[in-house]
Amino acid sequence: MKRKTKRAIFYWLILALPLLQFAIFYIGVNFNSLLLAFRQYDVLSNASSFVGLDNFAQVLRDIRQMEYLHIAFRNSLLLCVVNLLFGTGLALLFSFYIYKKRLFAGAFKIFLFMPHIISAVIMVTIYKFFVDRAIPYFVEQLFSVEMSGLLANPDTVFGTVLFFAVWVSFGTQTIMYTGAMSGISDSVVEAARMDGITPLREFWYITLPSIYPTIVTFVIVCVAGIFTNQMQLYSFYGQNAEYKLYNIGYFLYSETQSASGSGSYMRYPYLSAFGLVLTCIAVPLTLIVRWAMNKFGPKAD
Amino acid sequence: MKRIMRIAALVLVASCLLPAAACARDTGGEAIDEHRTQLYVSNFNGGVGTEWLYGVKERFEAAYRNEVFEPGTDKVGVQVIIEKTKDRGGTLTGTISSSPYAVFFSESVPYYEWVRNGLVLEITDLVRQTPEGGASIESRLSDETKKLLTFIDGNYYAIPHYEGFNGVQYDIDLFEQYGFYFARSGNPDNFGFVSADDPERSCGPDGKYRTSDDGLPATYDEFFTLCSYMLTKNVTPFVWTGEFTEYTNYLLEALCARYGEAYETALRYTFDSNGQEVEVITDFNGDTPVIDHVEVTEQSGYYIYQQSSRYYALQFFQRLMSNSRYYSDLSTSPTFSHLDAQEEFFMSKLENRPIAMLIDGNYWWNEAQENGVFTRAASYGSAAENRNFGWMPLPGVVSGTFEDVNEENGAKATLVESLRSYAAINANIADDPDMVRLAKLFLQFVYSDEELRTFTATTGVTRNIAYQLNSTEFAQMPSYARNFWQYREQADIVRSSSTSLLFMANENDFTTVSGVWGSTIDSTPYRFPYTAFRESRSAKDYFTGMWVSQSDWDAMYRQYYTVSD
Repeated sequence: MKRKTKRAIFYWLILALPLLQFAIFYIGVNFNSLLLAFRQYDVLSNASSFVGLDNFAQVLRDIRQMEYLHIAFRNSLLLCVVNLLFGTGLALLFSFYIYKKRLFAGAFKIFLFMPHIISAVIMVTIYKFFVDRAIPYFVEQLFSVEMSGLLANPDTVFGTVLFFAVWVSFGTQTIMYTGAMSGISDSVVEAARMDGITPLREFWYITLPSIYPTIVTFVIVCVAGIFTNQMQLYSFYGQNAEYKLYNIGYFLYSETQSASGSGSYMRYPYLSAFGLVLTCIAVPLTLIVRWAMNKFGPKAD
Repeated sequence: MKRIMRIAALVLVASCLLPAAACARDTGGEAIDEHRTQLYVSNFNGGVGTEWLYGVKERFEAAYRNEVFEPGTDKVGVQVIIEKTKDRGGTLTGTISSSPYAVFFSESVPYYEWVRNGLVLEITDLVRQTPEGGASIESRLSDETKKLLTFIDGNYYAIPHYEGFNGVQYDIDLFEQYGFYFARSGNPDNFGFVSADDPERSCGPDGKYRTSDDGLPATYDEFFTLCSYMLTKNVTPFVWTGEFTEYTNYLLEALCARYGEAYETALRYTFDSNGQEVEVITDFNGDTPVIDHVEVTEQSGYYIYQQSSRYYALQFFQRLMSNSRYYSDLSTSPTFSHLDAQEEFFMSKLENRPIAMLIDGNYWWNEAQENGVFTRAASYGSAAENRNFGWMPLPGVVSGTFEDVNEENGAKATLVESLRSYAAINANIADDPDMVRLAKLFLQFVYSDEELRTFTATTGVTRNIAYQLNSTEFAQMPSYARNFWQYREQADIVRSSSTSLLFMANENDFTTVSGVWGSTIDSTPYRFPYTAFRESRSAKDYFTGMWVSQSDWDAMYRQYYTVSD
């Protein structure tokens, strides 16, 4: 057998498994989900039948009428905005600090990446104890003021969960931005420094434009995931988060879990239709954001 | 470098194979005996635990140690391998057909779904078979249970396992020690409670004298008089888990069950009041509810959200939440689990910060035991031994005193079974007659009269099948189990299941704790009354926020019933 043929066989053998996996678990699942959105299951026979756009009509009616879905949409948007403004903003500043190898830069790197090394459930448990027991304890010890836990207090619970969601996404961004920053040509930075550039101007005029493609990627991923990011709510509350904490990602996840928990197919067509409606919103939104960022963003050259 | 690359490649390949290990059977660390036939049994390791099953395993293996289950091999006897799992009910639906386990004991089982999908083996012969010197399983099932199990095609596919009832547990010793019982005389010298000079107790919530609930609060008003009295004795009335908010709904459910008749409580599942009238609230005159009586059918199922029992239960709970001294401060902490709450409740008296009542299920005692609470309490010596706890009979009358309560209007002994626990055989062994025979034999053994009794004696938990404990077994059970057994004996049981298509197709809407008690107040939706009351919402607003209009009901469910003109 020729060396070229051998290589081709090796190449396709290596690719076969991921391709098969992609075909079954992505294309197959999504195609099936698409079909499911137009069907309904019979209670007794479990047979499914074509129902046209009934499921979509039900989804749109629910989106219009159900208060908790309004909250869920609002919270999803809020999470995305906070992630973009504060998460990305702070991640850029921290990344710059680490890139500049300032005091404790290495330690920051480890702390920020910690949530990604430790399992989400463990992180949530540690965080719950910290905000609900440790903080009130310290406040009481230091200021002699009694306060309830941040998750126990109805006024602070959403902010506390939101903070966690932003914080855990912070590490990945920081690592990626730091990586992108380290690729900036030393000679450019050196030249600017000789011209007396301040760190702030360096950040604004050199660093930011240089890593702009990475920022665009993160922003697009954040916008595309606007309806799938479930804010770690499932790790906090399982299927029993209160409505005021709901976001769309959590709604879809917990509804699917619940449908599977009851062992019933009845709810799946509705959820498929819901997913497709969300896709209709998220896809154009993502494309618009990508277009705008590429059009109006800084250019590295 | 090449060597390092090779090692790295090996490690990567090994890590790729790791998931395959998950497909293997979990033997629980037990070595496989190649000279015996293995029977793999999966058990949901929840409140009832798995200790009982280890006992069954020992006895079953001993009973069939000389039996051959795989003819043609040299294997003699059986080895039961037990998997303790946290997966239950519907979570198993997607995995049963490829599961290596032949027998399942689980809860929250979507029975009809499993049957419709052919996931469990038909076991009608086993259920109807009369064992030597005993009675068939079918003959021990209630008519209602038989109907539920055979609804789809007249066959049996599972057998009821244990029963779970949610409500309030109380520390009987503490009640005795402090005299937390209302006096029949009204005893004004002791705020209406019994004293050494005046020990005769009031009729209690059932309205009958000389019954086990004598002296306990007979009305909601009395209940809060008791709570306030407890505070004067430095006793905290309640504790519950703050982590699982849904537990607070257990109190609401238990109150509702005590308010009306059993058929009224069952409406959420049956949507059929059988021509009888149900008490509902149709409006409010100020804060006074306007009561009406209606028949409930699937078409008028929206009335279940207007049942007055719900309003009064909400009012009760709001009253409880309105005074933070009525419950442990840990009960609002999301880090305080149900296991923590059980331990707090059990230890409180020993640690001189007594708590009188716990919101939890009847399985709490066994759960606490399996989690080592009693072992940890042993350091308190004799004070921790022979403690008396019981199932709290809640009042069923809203206002007034015990003098306003009689046999007619007293609380009904109704319990709502909510765990839907079943035992079943995996349909994927259907082609293996030897394994089918073994699995059926095992279930038959588990459901023998002796094993049924042993199960309850071990766990304190009852099963939805007729059997009686003898006096020795009864006496050997922990005090809580004895107390609950007696309470259950005289109670009407409502099963959280029905043959209504409306129910079957929308099970989540009517069985999940959050599904049934959701409300919207001023455009703010709530899943739990607990959250709303913490935000100072009123019971009335919460209650009216739960209502569903007829048009909305029709829009949601009309495909499951015929709309009459």
